[in-house]
Amino acid sequence: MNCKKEEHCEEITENNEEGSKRVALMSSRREFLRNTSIGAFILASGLVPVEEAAAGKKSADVPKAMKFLVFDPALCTGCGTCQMACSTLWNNGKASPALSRVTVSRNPFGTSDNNYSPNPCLQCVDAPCLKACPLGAIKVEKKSGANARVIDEKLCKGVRKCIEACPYEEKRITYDAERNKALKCHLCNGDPQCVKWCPNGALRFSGPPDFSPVVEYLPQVTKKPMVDKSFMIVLEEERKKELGYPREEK
Amino acid sequence: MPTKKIYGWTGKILKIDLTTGLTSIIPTMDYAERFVGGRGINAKLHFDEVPASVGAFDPENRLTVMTGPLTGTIAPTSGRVEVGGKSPQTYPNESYTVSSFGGWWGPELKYAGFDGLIIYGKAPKPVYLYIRDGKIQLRDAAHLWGKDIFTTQEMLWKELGDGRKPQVLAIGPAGENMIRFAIMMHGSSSASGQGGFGGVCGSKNLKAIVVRGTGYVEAAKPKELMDVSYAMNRWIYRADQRPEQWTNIASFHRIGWSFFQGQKVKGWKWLKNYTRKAEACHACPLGCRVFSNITDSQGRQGSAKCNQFWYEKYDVQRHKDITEVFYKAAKMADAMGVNGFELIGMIPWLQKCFEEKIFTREDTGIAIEDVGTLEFAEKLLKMITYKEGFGKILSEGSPRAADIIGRGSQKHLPHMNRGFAHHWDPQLWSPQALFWAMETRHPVSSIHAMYWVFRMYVQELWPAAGFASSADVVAWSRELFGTDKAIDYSDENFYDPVHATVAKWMREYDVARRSMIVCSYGPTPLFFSSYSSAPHYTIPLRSPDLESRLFSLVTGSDLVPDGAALIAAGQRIINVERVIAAREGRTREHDTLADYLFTKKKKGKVTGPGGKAIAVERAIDRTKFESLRNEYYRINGWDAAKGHPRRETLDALNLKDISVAV
Repeated sequence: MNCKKEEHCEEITENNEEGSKRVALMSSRREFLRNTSIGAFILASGLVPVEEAAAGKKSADVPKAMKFLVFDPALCTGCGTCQMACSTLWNNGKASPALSRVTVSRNPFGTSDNNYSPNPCLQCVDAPCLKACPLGAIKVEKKSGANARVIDEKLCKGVRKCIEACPYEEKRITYDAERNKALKCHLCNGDPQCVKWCPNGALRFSGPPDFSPVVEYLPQVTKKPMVDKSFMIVLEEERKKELGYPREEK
Repeated sequence: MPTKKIYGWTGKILKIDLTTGLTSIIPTMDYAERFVGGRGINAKLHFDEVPASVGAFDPENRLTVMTGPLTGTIAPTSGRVEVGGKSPQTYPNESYTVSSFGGWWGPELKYAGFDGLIIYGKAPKPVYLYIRDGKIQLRDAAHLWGKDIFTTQEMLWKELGDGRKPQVLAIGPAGENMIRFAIMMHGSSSASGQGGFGGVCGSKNLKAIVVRGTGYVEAAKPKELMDVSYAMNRWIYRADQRPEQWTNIASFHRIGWSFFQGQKVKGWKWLKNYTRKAEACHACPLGCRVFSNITDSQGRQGSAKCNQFWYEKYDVQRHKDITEVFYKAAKMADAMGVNGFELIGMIPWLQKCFEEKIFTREDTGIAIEDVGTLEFAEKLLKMITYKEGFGKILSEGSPRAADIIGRGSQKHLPHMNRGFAHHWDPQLWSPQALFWAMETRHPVSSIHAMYWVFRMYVQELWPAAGFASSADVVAWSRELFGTDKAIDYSDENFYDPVHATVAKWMREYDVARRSMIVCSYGPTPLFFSSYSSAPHYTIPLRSPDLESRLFSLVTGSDLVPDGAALIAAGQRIINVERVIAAREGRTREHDTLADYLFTKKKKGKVTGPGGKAIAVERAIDRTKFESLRNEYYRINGWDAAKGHPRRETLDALNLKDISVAV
């Protein structure tokens, strides 16, 4: 949920000639959440062999995602066009937030620019969903070069351990009850449609080391009088380090 | 026999008797073939279920809440919901009218499995209706009763949230106390305002309707639907990428009301100092609302759009500048559930009555000289909401209050027709005069549909914002109406019969769109864009085929194959509404305008011959206006004596079941 994000939002202000440019970095409590959720899973399931198999996969075994979705809640109007496009396209014309691989959270009374925000899958560096799947149905898609973590629908049996493992409170993986399959962002084979459809440019497709599409976007944003002069990059801890952050982190 | 698969619609309308708690299901498709959805189905349901003698606050009144086949899909601006029922606000008699609201409630209702709701009866104690994935519950609302709309929503999110918030449509204390202009509201500023349906909910002891759904709305031809939607989306998006020119509605709204009043500096000040980001309804690329950074006493922020600027004029007069006061007053009204649009008319009326000494401070307890302060707004709102003292009279709405008070106060009312306050100027545009005369309420969506020709997008009228040249305007007139005169509002041409044709066509178009449902705001410039020579506004879509195309692609049906069929559907729906009005006793003497519009001259700039801008100053000529209205009756196939639909007119529109009842 949003409030969680707001609590953990730290802002770094830089000065340039255009005024203040704000890059807000979110520390997402990922570590904490991941540890607790996996812990809970072991206790509850009792499926020790399966857990061992999953745990056998170390972070180093899973190649890092080279491109992924970044987003700026300050540009999000909450229209949900991203989730309509995602669900209509990938579910044979069924439009539904519940079937969308990207969701939108809204707090109409929120006091921060995060009050409306898209929640895309960030293609986590250590891929907890991939490791959690007892059937090995989540794989790394290497063809497009993005290294997205994708679900092989032939193997997925709707176990939903991946959803449990997803470290975010607003889960990035959803479940199609009708087909008994988990649905996860696969970056549309390297051309994410939510990015294409977002009328406000709140979603961007980017990657390390320089996050260039985001940086290029900044001047355009500043021309818009409506929006704050920022592009809020929401990143995992590991990604922040790649970008040279945290610069002022406590 | 296997039933035919339905696309777009969910196929179910839920009917709830609040008195007994019993529910039943009506198949949507019984209605959808002729009435599409939204406003169309509402009209037919009301015709079938509510006799004319039923009062707005009677348990037998039906509150119909309908989505359309496009609601909840990717079709741009498809987030709106239509509300219908006997209205407590309409004047002189309580009559059937419609209202609508945006946000995400409508799509959520469809994801929960229903196209619409028919709510009647009266719950023995306060309740709220909870619909979750097809399951229906009436729950005790004792803890919510008396709470403001925003608090109610927050409490219900907490109570019923499952990681995602349910969508809540709620009423405030004004609705509970059945004031005649109470709203139903969802989110921060999605309200069903005009019509007073908040009071109808209050009369039924219904505090809120909460929906949460994890289902889906399936489109028959998703690939093509996405193509058309993407083209529309991009077009509007591209318009939005030119904010420096303020070429679109969203930008206008973000600047605020001041800008409309010609106070550009103050408009900019609102934008720069008090706003932060835009808010859009479901699948809308426009985002006409803007979040303010002003925090209320409960620590909330929220969004605002044009009609939340009702107090701004007084704020500016008082403080010599735009301040937080007007916004705080607007949010106070929203929270209590009072319709700001009525206050647009009520405050000037009060001022005038005080000036004429029709009533005084001693009579009323109102210190009119304090207008512009937050204290004044708060006091007035509380007085109305809780029906305290003079507020009891005001809670009837200004027209009824004037009747109660008498003493000549009626003649100061800035209410144009049916008890709704002045909005835009019918002295300048004759179709608009007809909209106001003929509509069941304030005809805001028809006016929106005509923005293009009236003012907003015509280069000559608004050089900074317009995209349509004089040639474009003339081409539009010629192509749709076979004459250059449809855009000519010069004194010589003002009462030309073609304006009745324009008004008829535009109302039908608007009503059909409100049955689909797409917003009367968003795609309007898109529709007209095909007539525009400005290159970045062209799109290979010819309209009103546009809406019918979206409809066909979502539903896979051939019910509305093209623009002509869309207009025909609109005509059918307007005739049903007219039959309801006739049944309620509406005749030609009600199809008129307030007296002041026939005497008070209005100055303005309009399109004249050849689509060129001309300056005019005029009042409406009563006799000529009446002959224009008679022309409107004639082309509709309504009788001249009363303006009621003829039986053969109804038969020709496939409304035999209704013509039998006439």
